Amino acid sequence: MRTFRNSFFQNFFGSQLRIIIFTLILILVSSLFIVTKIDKSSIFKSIRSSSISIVYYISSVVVSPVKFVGDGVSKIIEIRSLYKDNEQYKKERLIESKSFQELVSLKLKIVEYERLLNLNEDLDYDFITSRVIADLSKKYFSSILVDVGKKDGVFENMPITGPNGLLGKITDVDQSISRGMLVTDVSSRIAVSISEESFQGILIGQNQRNPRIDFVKEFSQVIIGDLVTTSGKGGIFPSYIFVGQIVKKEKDYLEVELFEDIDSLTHIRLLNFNNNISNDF
Amino acid sequence: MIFETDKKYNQYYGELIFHVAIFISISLGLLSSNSIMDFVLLTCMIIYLFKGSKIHWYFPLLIFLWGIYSDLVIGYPIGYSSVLFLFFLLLNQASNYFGIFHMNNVRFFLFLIGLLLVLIFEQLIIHLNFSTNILFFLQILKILVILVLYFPINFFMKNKININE
Repeated sequence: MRTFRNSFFQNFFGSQLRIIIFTLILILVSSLFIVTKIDKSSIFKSIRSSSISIVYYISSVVVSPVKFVGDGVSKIIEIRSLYKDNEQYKKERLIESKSFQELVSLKLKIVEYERLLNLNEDLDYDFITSRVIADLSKKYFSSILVDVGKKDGVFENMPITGPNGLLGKITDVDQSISRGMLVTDVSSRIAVSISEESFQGILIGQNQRNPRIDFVKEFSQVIIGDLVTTSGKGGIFPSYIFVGQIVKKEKDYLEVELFEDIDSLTHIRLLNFNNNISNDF
Repeated sequence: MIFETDKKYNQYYGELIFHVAIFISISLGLLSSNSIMDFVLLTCMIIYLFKGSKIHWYFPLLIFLWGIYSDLVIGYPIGYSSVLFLFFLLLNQASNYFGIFHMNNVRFFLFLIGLLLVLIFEQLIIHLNFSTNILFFLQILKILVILVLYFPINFFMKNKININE
């Protein structure tokens, strides 16, 4: 009896320890994946890109009942705000407003000045409008999924904008779905210009807070309220795309409030910018 | 003989329900556009509460693969979710090994300590890699929401997914 009990416990604890050791080994392997950034390698990148559609369709089938109820609730809220928006638009009447006329005359002046200075024309680019099918902006690595892919002409590093300003860029592309990294992502780095003086800096994502700008040489000359736009350096984003406004000036960095409200996004634009550059050269 | 068959049936049934629950929990992360509910932590809790005192050798491997799937769904670096899931599986097995599996309060505090360790680890990694800090208050809020769900989910798993019987 004693021998049986001893061997029973020996077997039980032996197998338990084996499971624990195997789990520890798998934790080490996973940590190695993170440390070596294995998903940046070309093999994993292509696996990741090609699996977006499959993963999305499987997940969306599973959560479709929850999504159905959520969509119903948001439609009700949308109809309520539609009436208020309509009243607001009637009051504003943009076409007859003074601000619209000022914008038009400013644009005409810019065209005239460019002609007088004999400036080269900026590269023109078209865009693809797409719907946001998944909003993962509240995670550390903020991203969205859009319902366009390779078959629609989407490619990696395509800039993403909303109606009010810059949002991010495309990082993974599958046949019909793509993933875009937002400017609030902790690994996002975008070259920007500040104010009319074009002070250069780097916009760094801060997860769910306002992004910040670092590495500004003329830091002391920047004031709160200055406009922030893309500088065009790096060749990924075209220049003069609105980003936001300086709202805070700390010891060594600037805080930017984005013009684009990521939470209320339903449709976005993908700028066909890089393609134009590659075609010209 | 009959009881052995019933036991195996219960075991497979329990495991199936467990994997379906994990699958749904990970997939719900795709819909999650709020900053309070973290479905990765919810999945970690489901794994921690699983009553697997006689799990097979391939169980940690399956959890590892679920972690890969979770990273593909939410766009995290490959390996991130796997580390979290396997860490809580390790806590689960460790509590079993040291015989505290049926002490609910002790396990609850062990789970809380695990969550806080994960939070500290994440803060360190993001600070070192990206020179930025995540909102501490928001992370604490997420942990509190998960802790609120601890006992209801424990009750459900005890009654539906117990493979020891």
